[in-house]
Amino acid sequence: MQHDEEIISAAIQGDRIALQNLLKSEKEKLYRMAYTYVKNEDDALEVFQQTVLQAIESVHQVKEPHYFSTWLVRICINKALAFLKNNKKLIYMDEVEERNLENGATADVAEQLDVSNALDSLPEKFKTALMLRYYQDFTVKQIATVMECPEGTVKTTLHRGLAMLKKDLKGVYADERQRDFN
Amino acid sequence: MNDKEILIKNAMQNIKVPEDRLESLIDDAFYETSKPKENKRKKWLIPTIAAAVLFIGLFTATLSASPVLANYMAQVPVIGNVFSIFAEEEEGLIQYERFSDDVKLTQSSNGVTISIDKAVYDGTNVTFTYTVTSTKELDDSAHLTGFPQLLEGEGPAGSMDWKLVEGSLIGINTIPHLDEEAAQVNVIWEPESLYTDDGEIEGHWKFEFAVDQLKTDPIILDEINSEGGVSVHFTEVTFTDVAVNVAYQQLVEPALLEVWEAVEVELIAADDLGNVYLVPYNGGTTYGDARTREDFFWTATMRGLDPLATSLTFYPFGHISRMEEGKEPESIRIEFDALEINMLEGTYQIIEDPEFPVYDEEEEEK
Repeated sequence: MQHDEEIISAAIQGDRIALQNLLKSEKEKLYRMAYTYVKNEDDALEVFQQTVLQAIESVHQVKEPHYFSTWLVRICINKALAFLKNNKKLIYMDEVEERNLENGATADVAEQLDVSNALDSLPEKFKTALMLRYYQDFTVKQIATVMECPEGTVKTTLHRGLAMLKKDLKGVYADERQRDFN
Repeated sequence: MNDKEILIKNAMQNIKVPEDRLESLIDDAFYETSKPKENKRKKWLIPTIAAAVLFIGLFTATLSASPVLANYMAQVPVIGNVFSIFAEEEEGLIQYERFSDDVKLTQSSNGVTISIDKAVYDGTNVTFTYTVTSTKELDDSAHLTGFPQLLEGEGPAGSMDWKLVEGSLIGINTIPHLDEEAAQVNVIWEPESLYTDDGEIEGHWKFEFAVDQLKTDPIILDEINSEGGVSVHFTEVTFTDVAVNVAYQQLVEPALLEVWEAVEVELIAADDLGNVYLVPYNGGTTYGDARTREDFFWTATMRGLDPLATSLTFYPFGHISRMEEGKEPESIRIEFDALEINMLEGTYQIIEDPEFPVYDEEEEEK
């Protein structure tokens, strides 16, 4: 997430329009992050709403503009995990697949669903690290900030996460995808 | 963009986004929060106080009338049973409750009360539990900042685990420190703040306490297994009342690091009854005389050993990896010969080309 530092500074200092625009520009990424944890639209919307409210409430606490992105993603992840914990949600991947197919997904989407399934089956910290790295395009340093751990741990987590992803996909795309993950 | 990145990005892009609803949620949130704060606060303050008073009154009355509930209340983690609560999720922790010593130190600052509950030192790790209560309502984001350390150690190290139970924050801190000779170690912990997403409460808390070592009787090992330019040197294993601790070195050929960046050797274990155990490491140390930056001395701890087991086998495996900023990480796995420990006789032997056990994660979740 790259934003004009001036806009972020303005948001931190109380410019609500600036913050509103920043949140709107990030809405898709935040929603998708939330969705990967809670796995349905209604709950993802609730997590998204909580994230927005929390951001409005505490944006003044962001110490430096360049922390804004990691701070916002961290709120979203915290809210999603708290939601799962409080609601003890069980996720049925069949539902996700069904919904996607209802929404006009075609056979080639199945490949993405397998990756999605594999991601979902990873323990939370590995999933979070992989999403931050490969979807949010965060640097190792940013991921370390979000996950509150040393950079070395992030690297190890990414290595292991990719290894597990590879293992989970084994047999699904034994010939082609296997190579991609080697 | 490489294949892995594309696959993950595509999987995420495949999630349909209800853009209009998200826009509305943002607009509504800004509208709602633009109302004068004073009104909002007054509106909420009165019912909150009333509810709190009612709750306390109701609970006190019921508690005195119901021994069943009284027993339940005794398990609310005010003092004394944090290990047991974590043991519901993490196998093997219940032994810590039994063999740990009471610390019972409490300090309050700015409405936040921190109590150190119990502690145990098994020659490899100091583990202690704590409870935090606050005049402010705590949510799942609550945790303490500031790492504990040992007077005998070299700066902060270890792991912190916490959870919110019945409105209180409870946690377990672990500090690795391998020294079977130390009869006692001294913990110093100065938490900096109680963090929540709503803000941080800073305060002045400082704990200093000593923890006696459990009786330990290490089996000294001296076995080196090599594979692909990496050697594993087992140095000792200790079976204590609370856990099994194993110490080992990874030694890396300098030439390997001309091509690769990092090496990480880990263990998995299995007993003679067919149980498979994770053996997570506590941390690694590099000594001054190390040949390479990746020569580490590790300690690892395994919990929940089946009491009927008579032998335990450690299976070392490693990952050799490299990752540069902006590039895709790469890693390869190597597997070593295993080391079988005969617990009855205190002896050990190498098992060549073993079949690696598979840890059943689903079993752990039950």
